[in-house]
Amino acid sequence: MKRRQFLACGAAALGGSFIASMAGCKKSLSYGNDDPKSWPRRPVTILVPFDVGGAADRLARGFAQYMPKYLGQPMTVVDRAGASGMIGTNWLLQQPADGYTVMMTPATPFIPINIIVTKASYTLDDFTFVNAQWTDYSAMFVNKNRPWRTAAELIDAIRANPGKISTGVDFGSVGHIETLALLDALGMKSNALRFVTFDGSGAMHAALAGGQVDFYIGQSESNLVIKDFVRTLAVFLDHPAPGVDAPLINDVLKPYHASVPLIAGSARTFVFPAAFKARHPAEYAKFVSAYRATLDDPQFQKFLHDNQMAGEWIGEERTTEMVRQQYEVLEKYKNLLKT
Amino acid sequence: MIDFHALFAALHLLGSSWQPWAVVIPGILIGLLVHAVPGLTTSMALAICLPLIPYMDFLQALIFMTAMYAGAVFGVAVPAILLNVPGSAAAVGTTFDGFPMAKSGKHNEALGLALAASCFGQAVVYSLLLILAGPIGRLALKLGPPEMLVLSLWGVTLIGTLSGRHLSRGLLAGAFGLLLGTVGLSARGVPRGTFGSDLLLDGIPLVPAIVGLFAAAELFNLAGRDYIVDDFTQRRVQAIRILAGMRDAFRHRGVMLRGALIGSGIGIIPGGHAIANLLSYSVAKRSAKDPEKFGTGDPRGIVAAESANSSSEGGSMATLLALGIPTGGATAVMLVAFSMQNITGGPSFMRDHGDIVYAVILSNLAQVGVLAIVGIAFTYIAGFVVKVRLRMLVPTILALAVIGSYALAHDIAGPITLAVFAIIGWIMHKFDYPVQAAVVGLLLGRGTEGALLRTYQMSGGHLGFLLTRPIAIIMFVLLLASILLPRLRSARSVQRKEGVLVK
Repeated sequence: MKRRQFLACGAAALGGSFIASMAGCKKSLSYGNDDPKSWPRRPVTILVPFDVGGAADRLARGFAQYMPKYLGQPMTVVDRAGASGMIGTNWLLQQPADGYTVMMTPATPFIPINIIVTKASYTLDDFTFVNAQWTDYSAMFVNKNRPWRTAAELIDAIRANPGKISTGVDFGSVGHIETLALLDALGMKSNALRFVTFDGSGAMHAALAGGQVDFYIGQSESNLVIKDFVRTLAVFLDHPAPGVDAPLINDVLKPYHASVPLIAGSARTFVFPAAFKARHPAEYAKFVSAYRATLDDPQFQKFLHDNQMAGEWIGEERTTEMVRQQYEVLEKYKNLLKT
Repeated sequence: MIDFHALFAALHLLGSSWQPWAVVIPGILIGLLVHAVPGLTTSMALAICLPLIPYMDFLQALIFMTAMYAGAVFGVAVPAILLNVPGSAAAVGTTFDGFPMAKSGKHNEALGLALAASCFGQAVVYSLLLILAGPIGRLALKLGPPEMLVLSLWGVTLIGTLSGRHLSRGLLAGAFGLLLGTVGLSARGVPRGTFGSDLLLDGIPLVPAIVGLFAAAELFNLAGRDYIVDDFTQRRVQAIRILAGMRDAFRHRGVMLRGALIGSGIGIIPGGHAIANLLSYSVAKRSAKDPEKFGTGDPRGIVAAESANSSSEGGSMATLLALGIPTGGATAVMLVAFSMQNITGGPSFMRDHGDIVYAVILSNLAQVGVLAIVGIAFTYIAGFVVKVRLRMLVPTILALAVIGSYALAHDIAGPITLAVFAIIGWIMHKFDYPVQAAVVGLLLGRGTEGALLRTYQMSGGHLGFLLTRPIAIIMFVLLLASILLPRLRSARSVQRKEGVLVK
């Protein structure tokens, strides 16, 4: 008897909650998606197309902690890694363009690389790049035990011994393209160097630190890990980097009457499918204002500082231009990648 | 070599409060459980727990991660012994004698042997790291692609010779695994064997593939039996016999110490943990007076494999601790956890954060002690598997494996991979090709090919380059010797026997 009563109670409770949730559904349907003021009505997913623990993931988790205050809904982080970000980026485009899924990614170099090198099915026009808030640059590093003190000494050594000096590259990365562009600018073929290709930058760092390769051009910040094993010979910037005692690459190249394009490294930004901004401009604007308010939040600023991250505002237009510029350079040098 | 100032600072840090130590037992249990389920890995467990790290203070985070690590290193042995399905490639060697022991009703002793050998191996490697972390870390950086290539080939050759009855089929299965391992985008940016699918660009998903291969070959094989242990009277779980097994391990001190040292050495090289247990096993077998006993449930086989796989995990931490450079999945996640606590890696890691390095090592040593006790309780409970009818157990494990493979990749690619590889595994088993060899090959395939490519690229196509890599040459000579010498010896003994017959 008791057992039956208990079951009946349970059924009633379940039924009640079902009806309540149906009612909730109906309510949300009746408002529809037309009212931008009510957006977002449910939690927003931040998609990271790379593994847990990487820079993009850690930045996304920072937003998940500080941005809901301004957005009015919780944010959750989902990592879907694979194929240099292509798996996750494809997944983003498969979601409804309603703003409930936003991607946090180093849009450069990976989106152009996906398109040009790994033949992704999307194009740059499929995305809205919100703001490259934390951008890295390339630099030329040499193992400390090698004799070359300056970039010019290294360049002369490569010229004098073509095919003898080795460099590490993560295939299709900014560093790889900068290396090819440098050889091209100096009138050398890609066989002037021994290119050693690595899967990811981690193994490459260990290889340079251990002297397995002589030098490489890579991202400046990720090389902090091995800073005691390497010398920085040049930075790929148009202005001196604070705290880095190395010349600008194009100053080094002046005596050779050459120059290289300066490609931005990893530029971490929120990315939406372009359809979201086109169909729901007011909702998009709401996201951007919540995002900017988060950037200005002193607590979030402290989080960025503690984690050695940056939170600059350069806006959608300049970010898109950065991605396009990199795409064009990559397009120009893609034939060199084939050799 | 020991920086005593930092060592005392580490002791002070670890002893500053008792509360952080409350996470030891949950940490060890998570590690044990995750690795006792074939296919799940330490780096996944660490990654899942990563979001918890910012909510812990530094000491707590450190103790939690090392506890998980300690548990994981032993956890792989449990399914290897009870079900003949290793929790990871590091426990393949454990199955050779562990499962025969379990079948004959000595599952308690086998688990005890493995637990003792695992704790011993970990204790040895962390003691070595305590004294020699700096030099070991620097040595590790000198080992590059050529050394990794030789080591991988050695691993595949060893598994080929150790598993199965036919050498040629063993080697062929290993080569088949290596080839499968090359599917995906190569380091040279060329996609191979992907059939245009983006999902295969990162290669065959290893975890469902390996679970599929083992599940089919071993679990289907088990399904014909009624229980794991044939003899009804032996189907008991007794803590006293687990303890007896642990004591028994110390009767084979020589085998255990040799295994621990082999593991410490091989573990330094990325990917080495999959190979250390096989190398240690084959050395133990070869140097035994009665090698024919190996593979039939010999305690020395378990001790050799487990002491080596446990110490090799510590070896892989050497570069992280000494230089702050991660070389593998689990160590990379640990470095991320450090950075969440605002401690960045780098060669100054040991100099600037010597106290933390020593704290990690000492904490690991302390975990070994706790593991020995928690491990008894865990193996005691796990041992009850022998009381379950296999017709209940096998479908349950398979169902869990399929769900798990879906959960890991979030899409149907996982279960499909599992099903395809289950078929491949079944066919291999039917025609007497050792599945273990294919698994080791598959695991090492990507790294082996990358190492071969990089060796070629570094040499610029000149063979003379190899002369600048003496360690690789020595390893290669040892590899050849390890295959040819036993064959020469057996050929000679056959000749001698024939000679006797002629007379």
